Parts: sequence; structure tokens; C-alpha cells
Amino acid sequence: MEEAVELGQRGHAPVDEGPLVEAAIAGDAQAFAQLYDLYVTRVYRHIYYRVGRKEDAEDLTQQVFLQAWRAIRSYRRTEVPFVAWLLTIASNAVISFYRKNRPTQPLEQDVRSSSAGGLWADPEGEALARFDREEVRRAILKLRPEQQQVVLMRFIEQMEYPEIAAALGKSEGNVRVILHRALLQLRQLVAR
Amino acid sequence: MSKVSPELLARCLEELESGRATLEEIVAAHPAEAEELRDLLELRLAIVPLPAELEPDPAFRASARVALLEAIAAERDRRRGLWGLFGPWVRMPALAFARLGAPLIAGLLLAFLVAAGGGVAYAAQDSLPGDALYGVKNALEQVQMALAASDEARAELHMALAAKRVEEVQRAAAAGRGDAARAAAEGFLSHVGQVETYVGSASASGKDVEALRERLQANLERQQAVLAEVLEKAPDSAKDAIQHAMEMSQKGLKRAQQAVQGPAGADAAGQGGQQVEPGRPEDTPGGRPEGRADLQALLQDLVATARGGNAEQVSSLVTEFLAALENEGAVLGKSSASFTEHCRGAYNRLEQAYERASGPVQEALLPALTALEECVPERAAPVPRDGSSLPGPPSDRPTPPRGRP
Repeated sequence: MEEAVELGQRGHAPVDEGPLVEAAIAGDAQAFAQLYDLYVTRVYRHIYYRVGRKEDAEDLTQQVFLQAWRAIRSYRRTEVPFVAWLLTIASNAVISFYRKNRPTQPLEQDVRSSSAGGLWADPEGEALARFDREEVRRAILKLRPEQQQVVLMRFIEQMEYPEIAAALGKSEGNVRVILHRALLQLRQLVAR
Repeated sequence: MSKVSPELLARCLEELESGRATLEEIVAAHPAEAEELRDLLELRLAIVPLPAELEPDPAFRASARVALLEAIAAERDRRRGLWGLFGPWVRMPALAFARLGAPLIAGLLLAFLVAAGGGVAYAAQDSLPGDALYGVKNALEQVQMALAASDEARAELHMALAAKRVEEVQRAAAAGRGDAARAAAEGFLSHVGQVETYVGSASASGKDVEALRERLQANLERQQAVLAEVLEKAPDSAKDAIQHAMEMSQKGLKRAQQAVQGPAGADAAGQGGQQVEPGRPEDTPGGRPEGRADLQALLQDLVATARGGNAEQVSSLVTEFLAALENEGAVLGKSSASFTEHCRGAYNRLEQAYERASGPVQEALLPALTALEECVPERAAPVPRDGSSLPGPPSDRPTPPRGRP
């Protein structure tokens, strides 16, 4: 049941972001800065998982928030949670990042081996596990962008299927199918 | 062929993640699918979030916050054009203007600027895109726009500015300056779009806009003729832009004709496919008009910016464009014929821009092209990879227009 404890940390503290989002859409930069305060960690961690380097994660995080500000007036009618919208922008930013001819980075060694919490939540579990987490992470980065997005939103961001479906403009059934295909593809990738 | 269906996998994942069952229990409950299910669930267990301790550096958080606010302020300055140009000297009156909407303040500002630099302002009138003084010319036009107190007045002014741009196209082409001609042609199109938007806005608020529409029609007919003449002698580097300006203004002309002759607005949208909704297209707190006009305006911005070669700006517009595309897909229905048609048109425009763009701009355009591909059935079909050596997340098909003839 150890896995369940680790995986069961789903969801994030509910925050009434509505007034802040409305104010930011109306052009209030300070309100947007408060949204930044709320979500910078989540965006950073999402990006870090995918790029594996602190400097790159910082650059891209900054870029994502600036792009979000520029596009925020378009957010009004998308009807997805604000953070899901941010993560979609983050996802596009990471795709662009990788298209700029950069190889997939392994996660930084000092973070991987740090004993103060380590990179992964249970180093013992990792040692016993059949699949190496870093290898799986690299395999995830080889999936199609849409599959990557669904895998990360579901397993890393721990978003529910309806949330993912709304963020990506798909049905829940479609999201399940994408996830299914993604895991099958991952299985092939790590088996090679 | 997978033995594990998506539904079964989702159920098993749910059981595992919620702690209702262990991996062994789940596998034991599905002997026929045991082997594959075990692999998939073990893979799932290897995908775990980073630990909570992994947070951005507090120094980064703070400095990035400051940088974000500074970037927002700088962008506002830049978008306000003249205000940005003269920085803190005019920022306060400009903000006062923006908030109070007082034409008097803008008038005083204009008088001050003309008095302070009248010679420069005069000289700027003859400048062409790319000239040092062209920024001053644009800035003065923005002040004029700020002074326009109604939608009709703004439509009139954009009409006059469209005529100026055509005149610039002529002069630039005559001087063999392809880039300047191209930029002026893009500016012309932008002003024509603004005229239509403000006429639509005035009409929606009950104003009589017949005279405006007739004048727009007459202007566009004249400008079509001028552009056709210029096209023959224009440098090669400007021909496609002039051609495009002619095609788009021809559509604008048709819409104006239909609006004057027939049931205003509705028919025009059906025929031209570019309904211009009421709204405020300038960069004001009111924002762009929503819907199709928004997408079109963004597309125009995107193509123009891509031509300008600023990859960062292109990337930013691409984000905005993707959100607007999503929005339009939600409104029209992603499988609807009209949405597909819009996507196809947008794809073709962006593909042309892509082919002319530099490497960084091409990269910035790719997410938009990829998204549009998904919306166009004939492009969404998987085809073999083209052997591109770019690393990173692969796709089942080549990324958009690379390798096209």
C-alpha cells in the first residue's frame, strides 16, 4: 500500500482565484502578480520535470508567465481552471524549448542523490521498482506532445480526468484512450 | 493488440492510486490480462511527482516576479507607442488620458510635442517603414487616434491612414525598397480591418454608418487600382505582400458592397467569412473584439510579426493565437465545417509566413502550425517522419511545412 500513500496526494488546496483572474483580465498587473505567487511553484515543478535543469526551468517559468499575461484576455472564455491553462502554455513552451535543438537533460545529479528528501519521494521504493524513474521520465519526453501532456497532467499534476478533458478540449473518454496509448507506448520505449 | 482496454486500465489505475487495491491484488483479479497489466501499472508507479521540497529558489521567485511586473510595464509603454517613446516625461499625462479619456489632455500633449519637435514631426511625414523617423510618424498617428472621440471618428481616421499606407507602398516600390513596401502593405491591411471593426461597432450601437460604408467602398476601389498598378513595378520582395493586400482588401470591398447594398452585416459575414464584430481593436483595456474577428486580427498580427523577424514576439502571439483558436473551436465546434475551413485558411497563411521566416521565427510558429494541422483532416493524417534530426518530443508526422516545395 506504500504506493497508494505516495500517489494519493492528489489535488491542491482550493484557492478562490476567480476575482484575481477577473482583475488580471481587466489589466491589473498586481492581480496577475498574485496569480504568479499562487502558481509559480506548480509551473516550475512541471517544467523542471520535463527539462531537468534548474536554469532552463527558471527561464521557461518566467517565459510562461509573461506569455500568459500577454494572452490572458483570451482566457476568459476557455472555461478551464487557470492553472490548467498555465500548464498548457508551459507545455507549449517546453515543446518549443526542445525544438531548439537541445537534447533531453537527465535530472540534475545533486537533486537526484540529495538525501534531504531526494528527488523522488521514496528512494527505497525506487531501488526495488522494476522501472527506473529517470529512464521512464526520459521515455515520457519521447511521447507525442499530446500524450506527454495527458500523462503529466494525470500522473504528475494529479489532475482529474474532467479537468484534463476541459483543459485539452477533449472528452473524458478520449483522455482515457490517450493515456492508455501513452502507457502502451512507454512500455515499448522502456523495453528497448 | 493490447489485451487491456482503456476502460479497464483507467479502473485499475483508479484502484491503485486510491489505495483500494495493491498492484498484486489488481493483477490477480485479471489473470487474462495479468502480464500486460502488471507492466502498465508498474510503469505508472515509476511516474511520480517531484518531491514537495523541490521548489523554485526564493531568490528566483522574487526576481522573476519583479521582472514580470517590469516587463508588463515596459510592454504597456511600448504598446502605447508615443508614451513609451517619451517615457516618464509623458507617462503620467498619458495614464491620465487613458483613464479619463480626456481629449483635452491628448490635445495638449500633441500641441506640446509639435511645439517641442515640430520640425521633426514635419520631416517624419515623408518617412517610410524602416526609416529612423517612421516611429515618430506612427506615434503621432496614435495621438491622433487617441483624440478620435467616437467609433465613427476612429473609422474615418483609419480610413485616412489606410490611404497614407497605400501612398507609402507607392513611394517605397518606386524607390525599390521591397521591405518598406511590404511593411506599408501590411499596415494598409491592418487599417482596413480597423475601419471595418469600428464601422461595425458604430452600427451595432445604432449609428447611421451608410455614408462611412460608401466611402470605404469608394476608397477600397481606388486603392485596389493603385495597388494593381504598383504591383507591376514593385520589387520582387514586396510583390507577395502587395498581392496579399489586394486580395484581402478585395474581400473587404465585397463586404462593404454587400453591407451597402443588402441586409447589412449578416450576409457579408456569410459571404466573406470574416464577420467583423463590434469591439475595440486597439490595445485598450477593452481588448480586441472577440470571436472570428479576434482570430483574424491575431493571424494578421502573427504574419506581420513573423515578417518582422522578432521570434520572441511571434512566440507570444502564437500563445494568444492558440487560445483564440481553442475558443473558436469551442464556439463553432471543432468538427464543424466552418471551423475546419477557418483552420485551413489560417494554416495556409501561416505556412507561407513560415516558408519566408528565419529559423527562430519558424520555430516560434511551429506550435500554431501543429495545432492548425490537428484541425484540418487532410493534414492530421499521420505520415512517415521526414527524418528531421531535431531532438525532443517526436510527432507521428513531420512538423508542419518543413520540406514542402
